[in-house]
Amino acid sequence: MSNNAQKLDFATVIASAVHDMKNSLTLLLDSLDDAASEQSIATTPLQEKLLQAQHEGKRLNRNLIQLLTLYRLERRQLFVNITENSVAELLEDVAMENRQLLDARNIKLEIDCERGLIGFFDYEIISGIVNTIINNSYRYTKNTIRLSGEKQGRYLCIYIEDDGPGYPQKMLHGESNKNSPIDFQTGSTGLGLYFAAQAAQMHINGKRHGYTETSNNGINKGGRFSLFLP
Amino acid sequence: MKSPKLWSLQGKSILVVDDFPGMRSMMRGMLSAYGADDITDTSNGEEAIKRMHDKSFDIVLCDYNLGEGKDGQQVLEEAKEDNLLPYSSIFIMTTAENSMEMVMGAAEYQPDDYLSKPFTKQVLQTRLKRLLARKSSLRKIARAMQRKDYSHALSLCEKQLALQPGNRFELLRLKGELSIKAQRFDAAAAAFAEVMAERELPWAKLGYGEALYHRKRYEEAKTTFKELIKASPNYVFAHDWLARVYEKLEEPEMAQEILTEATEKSPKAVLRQRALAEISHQNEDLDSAEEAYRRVMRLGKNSCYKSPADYASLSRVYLQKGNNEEAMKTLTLMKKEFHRGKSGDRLHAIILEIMLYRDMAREDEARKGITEAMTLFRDNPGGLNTLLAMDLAGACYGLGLKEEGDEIVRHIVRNNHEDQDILDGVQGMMEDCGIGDSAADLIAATRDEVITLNNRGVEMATNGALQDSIKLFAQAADGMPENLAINLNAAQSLIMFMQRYGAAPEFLEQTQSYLMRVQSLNKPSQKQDKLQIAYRKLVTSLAKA
Repeated sequence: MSNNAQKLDFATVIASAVHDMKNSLTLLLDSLDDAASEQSIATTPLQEKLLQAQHEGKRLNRNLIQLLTLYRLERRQLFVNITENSVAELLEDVAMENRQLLDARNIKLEIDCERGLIGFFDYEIISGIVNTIINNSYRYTKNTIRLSGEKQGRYLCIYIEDDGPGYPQKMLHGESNKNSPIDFQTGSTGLGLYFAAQAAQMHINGKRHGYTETSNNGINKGGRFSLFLP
Repeated sequence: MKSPKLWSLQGKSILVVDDFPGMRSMMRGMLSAYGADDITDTSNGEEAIKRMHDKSFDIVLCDYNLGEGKDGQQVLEEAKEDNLLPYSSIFIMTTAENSMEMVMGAAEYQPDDYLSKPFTKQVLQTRLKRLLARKSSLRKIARAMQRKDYSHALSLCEKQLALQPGNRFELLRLKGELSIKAQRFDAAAAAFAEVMAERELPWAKLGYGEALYHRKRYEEAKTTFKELIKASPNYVFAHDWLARVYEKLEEPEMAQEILTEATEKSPKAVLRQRALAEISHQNEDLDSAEEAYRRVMRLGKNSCYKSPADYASLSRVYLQKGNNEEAMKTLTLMKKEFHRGKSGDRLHAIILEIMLYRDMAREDEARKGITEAMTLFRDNPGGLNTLLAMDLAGACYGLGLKEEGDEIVRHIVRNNHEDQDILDGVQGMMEDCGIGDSAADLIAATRDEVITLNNRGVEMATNGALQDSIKLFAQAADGMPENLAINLNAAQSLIMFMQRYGAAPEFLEQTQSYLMRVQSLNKPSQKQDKLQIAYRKLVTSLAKA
């Protein structure tokens, strides 16, 4: 038997394992969604637990996507599919996905974006970023998260702000393309921010690249994540 | 004002394709929650295609990975090729993979949307809502596209664009693509340029380059595609077009190089692999050609693009390499694969087989093949297209079978009696076979036959014997599916009949099939435009009645 036949193609193994995991997650999340939407358990602790479980399931999925994306990025297999999108629709989509969970904890989600605002970006990647950041905010905010979008000069800007304690000093950074170090000790938050910075940078228009910023200029000095797309 | 109706999927026919039973029942659940009451589901691609033949669906939700057999992309390709998916219907590819890989694998067609797993009910609802709204705003254009009436589709496009709609980019894209189909290349370039002025989106630049290519401005097209590849190295469509440009510039080595690069980035697209195989073969790079043809055969296994020509070409590559054994093996494989296929495929395979046997100097087998081919041909003359017929006629003459050769030549002339290039081609082919003397007479006699027949039909129509004229042209068109004048007149006699006695659905359908045939012959004419307009009026009159 030749050596080739025995060699394990790891990329293929990953691909088929991920395929399976995603199917499982889809069914799991859908069952949880159905269970949590039961009228009889509305506003009970059981419902909150189910929503929590759903939240964790989504986090698991996002992490999986991020890992895969970063793996592809390293192997230079990742590229962005830039299309024309309505920014308000993007923010509404992401808000809808998180609404139930935020409602259960009485967190207000505000959207501030002009209806006609059009942006050019990879819809899947950018909605992934916004989702990830909302999830960070969910863990730290007191009672409000605000999503907003606007055109600033030649960039499209998307902000995710909360009224929590803000980012710790070591996670504050300016333009991502200045290569400010990102601390992985902070767990998934660190990975999420790193992912966001990398993905933003892949958005290119002419000579301009996208970038991200974190600051504590959010609601009542809470965290504020800014995404700039060329 | 109309009162807003509650959004629902009620009455929409929906097809769900997923190999995982749990996923199918989940999708049913999700869709039913939004009022869907006409859901069909199936676990594999072959079955999906069958269902789509039986019934047309408003929405198809198809998973990319379907295990053994066809994958989601192949389902989409076959459905589009077989006209099972009009522009008005929605095809969503659901996927657990990164959707970009699928975009890369795509060659000819892309779905309306990708939906990555896991997704929630709400996400499915939002996507469907948006897509349905979008399609509904384009439904008139879609109807015109369905009957290949591109000039009408274009004027509808213009009208909508004048209203400054929110989906301006989508309409401009449609306008560009339709203009290319209608062979209005300046208009196409203008539409794509309008998008590029705001943002250099890859599809716009690609379309712009394509328009340049069609206007034979190859140097400019080359620059455009090169820039596009530089800016978006993974946008493989740009490679396909750049290779075509290099072929036109007579730099086939460059074309091969570019296609090699493209197939490395996107190894799954059959048509791209085939293009590489053909150009490598042409460049006499036999090793590369062999590899590429092998990939075409492997990838094409479940694809609607599977063709006996690939097997025959590979067999010829082996012959050129002096490997007669492999050549024979490939030939046998071709016979096996296409023995029971559609009659057109079978005839195609046999003709290729005849030619290979001749190359191998195995005349007896070639003769046997001709007997078989003639039987299939006489059974269904419409199944033999001009290109293949030329090969078959040449083989007949080469083997001294003059009677059979003449029969095929008559078929060619009948289908192309007004096309001087093809008639010259026939003449040249017969001269090459050493029977040039009888060529002119045979061609002229057959052409006169068609002209007489055509004149008779026209005369019947002018004298008011419309039913006789319809019958005559319908019969003629059956045997001459590629004849422009006959098909146009078949449509015209039906239209005249309906103009006098009123439109009827079955006549309209028949008329449409002739007009679509004419459209696919790609020889635009004023008569065709006039008939399209008359046809449209009849459709409207029927709708009002």
